[in-house]
Amino acid sequence: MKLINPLFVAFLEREFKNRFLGGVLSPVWWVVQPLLQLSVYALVFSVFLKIQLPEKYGTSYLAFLAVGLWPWLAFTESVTRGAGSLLAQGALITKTQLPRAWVPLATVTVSFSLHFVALAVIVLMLKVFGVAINGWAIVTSVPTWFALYLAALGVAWFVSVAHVLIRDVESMLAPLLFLMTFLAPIQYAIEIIPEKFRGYVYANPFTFAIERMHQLFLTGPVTPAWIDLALLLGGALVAFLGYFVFKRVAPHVDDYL
Amino acid sequence: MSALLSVSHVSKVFPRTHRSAGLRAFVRLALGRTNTEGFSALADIDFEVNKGESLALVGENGAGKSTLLKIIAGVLQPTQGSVVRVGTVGALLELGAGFHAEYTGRENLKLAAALQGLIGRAFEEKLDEIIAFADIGEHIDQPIKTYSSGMIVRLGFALVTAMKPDLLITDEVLAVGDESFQNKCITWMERYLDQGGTLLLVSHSLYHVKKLTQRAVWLDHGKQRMLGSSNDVAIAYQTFHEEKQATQKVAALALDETMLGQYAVTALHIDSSDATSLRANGEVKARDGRRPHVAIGIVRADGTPVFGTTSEIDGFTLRHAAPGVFKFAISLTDWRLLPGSYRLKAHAMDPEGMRVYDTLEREFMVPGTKRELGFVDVPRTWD
Repeated sequence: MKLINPLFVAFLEREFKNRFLGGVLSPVWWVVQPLLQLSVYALVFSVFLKIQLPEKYGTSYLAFLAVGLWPWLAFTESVTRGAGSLLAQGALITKTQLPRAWVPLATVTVSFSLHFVALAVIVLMLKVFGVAINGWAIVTSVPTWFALYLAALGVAWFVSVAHVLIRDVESMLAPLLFLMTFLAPIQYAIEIIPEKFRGYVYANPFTFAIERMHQLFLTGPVTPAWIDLALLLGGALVAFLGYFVFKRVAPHVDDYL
Repeated sequence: MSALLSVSHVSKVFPRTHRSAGLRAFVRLALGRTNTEGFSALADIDFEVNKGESLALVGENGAGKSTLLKIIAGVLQPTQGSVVRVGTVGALLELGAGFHAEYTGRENLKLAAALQGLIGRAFEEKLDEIIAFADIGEHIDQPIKTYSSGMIVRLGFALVTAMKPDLLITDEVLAVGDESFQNKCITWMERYLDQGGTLLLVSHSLYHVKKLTQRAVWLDHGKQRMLGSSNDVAIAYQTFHEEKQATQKVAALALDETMLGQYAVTALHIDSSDATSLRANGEVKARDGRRPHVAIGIVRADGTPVFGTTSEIDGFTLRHAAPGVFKFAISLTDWRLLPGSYRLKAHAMDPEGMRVYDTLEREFMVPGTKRELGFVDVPRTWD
């Protein structure tokens, strides 16, 4: 019901515009920045370090990287932006009756929509260049995206209120998310990790989501479809817990803004 | 009569915000406990606002007026107590509240209107009316950051006029904006009130309080000191201020007795004043014991002279009350002053009526609803 609230639509529209505000080239940066990141990773891991992909992932390291990297970028961007979102919108939430939960919600929604579209464009581009990649996975990966979205939402709700009271939260997030980037099979395939260390990578719940993306786009499903359900349930749980804490703390953030 | 707004036993405590206290506060809030330690901004505020019965909040700076308004508007949560609102509420809380500096006036209006429930086609239909009321010309398509404070208020108020909420909450916004826009706002408010609107007003202008509202609450250091008709509250509040100023003045006088000039007005009291007359008495001290004169004047609140006379002109001799102390009383009657805020001034003069010494002044209000301009009501006939 809340998703079609016209006020929420107006607020979401504002959030979209905020991303592209200020610079003439902002819309370009939204495309260029991840592309640069993709090129840097491709250069370092594929050209310099010569990371070998197991055969089942196909021959394009770029495709492998993009499919895992974009959902993860959506997640990290959501969480980092979400953490500062209540502070950034302080003027609005302390002086109007805007439902506070919408602020991180809009931030996460915009990040995920932009990155979802970006990956879809990249996948189609790769297909045009003749890379073997499953275009239909853009649709079949929606549940995986949504699970990540729910998880990002829960974390964003939690860190947004936490950051208002404890201003160190945003600074702590950056290295933590950086570590998790390397603890997920994004730049490397899980198979090249020595057996005894694989447990650490699987301890990162995002590993399952990233693997699922690889399967859908590149190797074909290996894990059963119920993994989507499990991911969705996990995401929903995180969202619920985050909202629970948010609901309790958010009415009092005025005192600390 | 039905209550549009019920404020029951509202208290607000602002926690002390040490940097290190954040983690503890966060854990406590997350566990569902509220913070009850800290600075008490409001304590046990309790009143109702009925439909068509406007209410004013008066009080000194820091008395908690703005905090209370925020709680009433639903922006801030009370620590204890509750607020029940019925019907639509429009709030003009602060200069440019909810406006984003980077967006144009038009873009800001859209979200601000949406926040107050004006959305989609209904908004599009009213947009021209809003822009016309704001009367800021082509600035409407410029970012808000280029606006003057007056223009921001215009935009905010223009939006409210389109909303016509059941309850309108305004916080001191009338203080900004030029006189013509203030008058436009007052005119709009009077029409809004006539049409059954209800106003919740914070103002330092007792004139506005008496003019626009029926009841008033006086907040003093977060406590509800008085609740009554706006006239009663305004008088009590004004008296409180006059006494406070008087004690400050007396203290200053006592300190500077030796610094006083040869002749000095040491007391001036307005006994009574109404729409057509004023009665005042005062005391003048003369260090040499000779009988001084006194000059009495009326000026507008902004200092424009309206009328002046002296006991020397009028051939009155001050009454000798004690050695070196002389008293007077004066009645000004049947004036044709227009409603507004004025000051009564008393200057000590030497016995020759030549030199003017120091001054005491008191504010007074000419009540009324006349709409003529200027400050003298000139008798006239039209043919």
